[in-house]
Amino acid sequence: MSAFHTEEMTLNMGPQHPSTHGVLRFVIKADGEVMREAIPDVGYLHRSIEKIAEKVGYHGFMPYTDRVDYVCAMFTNQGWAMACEKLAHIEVPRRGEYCRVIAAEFNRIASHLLTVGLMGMDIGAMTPFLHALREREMINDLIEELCGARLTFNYMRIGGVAWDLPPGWRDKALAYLDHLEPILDEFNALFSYNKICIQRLANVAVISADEAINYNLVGPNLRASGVNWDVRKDLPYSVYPEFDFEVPLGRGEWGTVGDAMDRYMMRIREMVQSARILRQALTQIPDGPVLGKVVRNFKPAANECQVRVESARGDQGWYVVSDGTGFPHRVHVRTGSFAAMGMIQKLSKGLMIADLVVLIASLDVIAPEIDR
Amino acid sequence: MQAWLDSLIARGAFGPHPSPDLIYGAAIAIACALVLFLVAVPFASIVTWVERRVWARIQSRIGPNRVGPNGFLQWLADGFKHICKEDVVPAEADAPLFRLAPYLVVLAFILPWAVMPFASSLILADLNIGILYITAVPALTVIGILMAGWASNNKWSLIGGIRSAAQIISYEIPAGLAIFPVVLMTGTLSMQGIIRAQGWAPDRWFLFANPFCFVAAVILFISGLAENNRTPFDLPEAESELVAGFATEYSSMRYLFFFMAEWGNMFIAAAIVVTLFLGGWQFPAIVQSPRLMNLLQLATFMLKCLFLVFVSMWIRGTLPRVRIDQMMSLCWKYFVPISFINLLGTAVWVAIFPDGNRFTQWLMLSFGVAVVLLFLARVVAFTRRARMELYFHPTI
Amino acid sequence: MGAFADYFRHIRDAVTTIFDGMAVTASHLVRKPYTVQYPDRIPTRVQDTLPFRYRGILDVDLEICTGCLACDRACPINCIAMAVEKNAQTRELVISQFDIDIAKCMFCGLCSEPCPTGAIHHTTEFEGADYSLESLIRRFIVEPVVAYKPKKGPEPDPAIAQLLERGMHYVEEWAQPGSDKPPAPAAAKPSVAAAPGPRAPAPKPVPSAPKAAADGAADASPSAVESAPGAEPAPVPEAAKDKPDNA
Repeated sequence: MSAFHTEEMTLNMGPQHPSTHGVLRFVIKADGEVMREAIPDVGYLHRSIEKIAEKVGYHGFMPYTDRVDYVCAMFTNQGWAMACEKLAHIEVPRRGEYCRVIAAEFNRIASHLLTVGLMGMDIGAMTPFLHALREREMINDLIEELCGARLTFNYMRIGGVAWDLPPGWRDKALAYLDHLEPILDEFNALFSYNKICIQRLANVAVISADEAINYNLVGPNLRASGVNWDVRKDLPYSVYPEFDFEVPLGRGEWGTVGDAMDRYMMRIREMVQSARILRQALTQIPDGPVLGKVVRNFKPAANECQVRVESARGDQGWYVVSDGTGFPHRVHVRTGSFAAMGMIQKLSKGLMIADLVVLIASLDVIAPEIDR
Repeated sequence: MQAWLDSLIARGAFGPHPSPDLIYGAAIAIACALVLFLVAVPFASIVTWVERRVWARIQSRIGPNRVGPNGFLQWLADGFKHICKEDVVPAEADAPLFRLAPYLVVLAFILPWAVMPFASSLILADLNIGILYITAVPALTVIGILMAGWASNNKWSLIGGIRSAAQIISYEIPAGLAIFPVVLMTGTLSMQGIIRAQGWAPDRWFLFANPFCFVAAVILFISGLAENNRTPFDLPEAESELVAGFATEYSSMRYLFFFMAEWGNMFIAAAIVVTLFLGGWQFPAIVQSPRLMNLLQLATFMLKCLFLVFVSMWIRGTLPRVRIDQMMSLCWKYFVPISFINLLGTAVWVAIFPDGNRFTQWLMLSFGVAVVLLFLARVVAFTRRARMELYFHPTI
Repeated sequence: MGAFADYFRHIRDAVTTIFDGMAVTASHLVRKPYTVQYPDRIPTRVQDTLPFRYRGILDVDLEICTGCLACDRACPINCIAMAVEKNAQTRELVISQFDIDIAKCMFCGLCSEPCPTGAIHHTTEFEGADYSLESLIRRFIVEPVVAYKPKKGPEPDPAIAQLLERGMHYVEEWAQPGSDKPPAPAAAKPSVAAAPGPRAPAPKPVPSAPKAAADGAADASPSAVESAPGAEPAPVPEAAKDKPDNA
């Protein structure tokens, strides 16, 4: 009796697929519901942002950094500002650094809320998504009051931030933090601890610590595999050493260390830690100027520098080469999503089609950050 | 009506040798079908509005509220919009099958209404195998969906169709097994017979007759969700995985037919559970007039059904979707064995207590009340714990 | 035995967690919705409720525009087109073109940051839908106007004083480099060292308003002087000679 003849099915997922987070594209080779391989195809959102930097100068590039990762633009702002400050030896006032940390940590919470909400959306639950977005809207309202925009913030400047905290903002922010923790508990009861959610996420796409390091994963994805690496702790920048916070690590309570559930819970735990940092920052913030003395069209001497910030998607590297003119010679951003995207092809072997969306959502890849 | 038919017969409209009985029968059947169709279709459509409103409130939204009072006429607007849209048949699709599929699905949704026991004398056909009929006929949906998935000539549609076939056929088994405990206790397959065996008071419902029946009711309800492709079993149209599953290539009225059938089937699944376990139309005999009594019974039946429909909407607003292998393991590893144990347990129970056990009924009822109270306590706790009083936007 | 226990643990977990999840959603059924019904069923227009710093569509108060071109230079995408020329007889600066391409604008705020008087500023207006790209180009100049020249004392014209007050309020909202407190209101204080030239750093109603110039003065390196806005190809050559001194 001969074996039943089957054929491999090639499926095209994206770039206009509902759950590919923007414009990702995958070519899936599937055997029924089980994938043999999902081959990522990137480049649909390439806007040559790095090249633009060479044309618009140091100050003018700041709004473009918002577009590198529009979900957490504060970190790209901060990375660029820090790189320029390092090149031109500009000092940032302490209040400016606090403002940066406050804005960035709020942005981290907003970004993680979107991520956990999208995870709900991708496995078929609409309600967690809208609840997470509701909370994110409140942060957006706060940030809008702080810097006038909800998504493309352009809040930071080389040498500090563009606006001081508005009057009364601190109380609102603290009120929001008080509100966030019960809401996160509620969110966990609604979604995270739901048996179906755990079944869908636990033991799916397990990444071991070695693999995570070899594939250059960063941020929550790396820490979910149990590797303790957080730029805020290990290569401290800004005023982070002044705060007391923990770096959550993947523990594998529901399955294996480094599975999708760990990566998902990492975001929830980081939100709690961000709230902890914010509480300290909002109470400790010193008086003083928020913007250092910066020359309008400064021309750093020919040099190169590399800075790293811990964005919501992990260790974000900014490499800038200056050539003595008012325009950078070369800018490169190293983003977490790009590395994560490179891992999808390997992880997808043997997963089901329904698991692919879980994998994408749990790695939290954002299309503009991959292509830039 | 009869006079009009008589005059038609006299004029020879039905041929030279008409048989009046056949013609009367056909006329009544057509009239009933028309009435049912005119009830079932708007009902299924109005349910869409209810679902959207309930869903919206669960998600802190308002929901459709522009067309008519509180958006009540939204279903008319949606239907009209869908009819006006272009009916696209993809070039590579199998056009006849592609066109036929939605009608089969609608057929499977209309047929069960014939044996729906609305009230003690409001039933179109009280078949003696009514309960078998009403579980078998909706399963015709699978043919329509499989046909749609295949004829679309789209891989996403095909996966959706295959998933649907696997799912509906699998869940027929626990659904069928969950019916047997009640059949064992009543000894009849007729819808009206089963309802008459219960009483109006909750302690006389089969839901609380014994622990096995309670489990059977839960399994039947969940299998109903699975058979109608409702969350958490909406794999055939899983929009985050399969775009829109079997309905990916459909547009216009044909697309609407699929979803009308889905929402209508929600009511049928609820009606089965209500008939078997929740006492159907049973209502205390407080009025003499049979006509008024029938109306009250109709209201009772509809309210019970609508409550279950509401629960299924509420589940849809809460739960994520299971994966295909988990759905299968849930069916074959959990529901089917448990249903068999239920069946055996009920058989033993009926052998020991042929007329039921009042003590167990009261115990089960108090258990049910306790669960509801516990649930309400959780709701209050959540409402108190995470308040949403924080509104930064001044217009809210 | 372990597998048997797991079997029942799965059932128990499923029942209890779904029970909790349903309680959460039920509690939301009795809570207030969070959304608003934009645009027609809200008590006030959304535009009126937005924060002062909101970066909406750009607007220009030509009455207080000094024609310094700082916004034009700051714009990273060149969506501002300005033409300023000097009237030879009256020695007045005349603005003959001031177009902003809203279709191109990315609302970054870099143009309104260096504005000394707050003439170019973001409004809270955000509804910009239109039928053609051309109509999105806002042309502020119908016929050439004379640029605003800051007065030494308080502004005499009440209409312009009002505009200036609003503009300076806008300017003060921005972080002032190196300064702790926001500076005193504009019109109330006479300018310290009003330069004769009508170019950008000249209107100095507020010490730190022309930030760029202030930076230049603070950082006394040659490159800083060179990179002060005056060093850019400016319409008025003598501007470079006015060394702006900070208060």
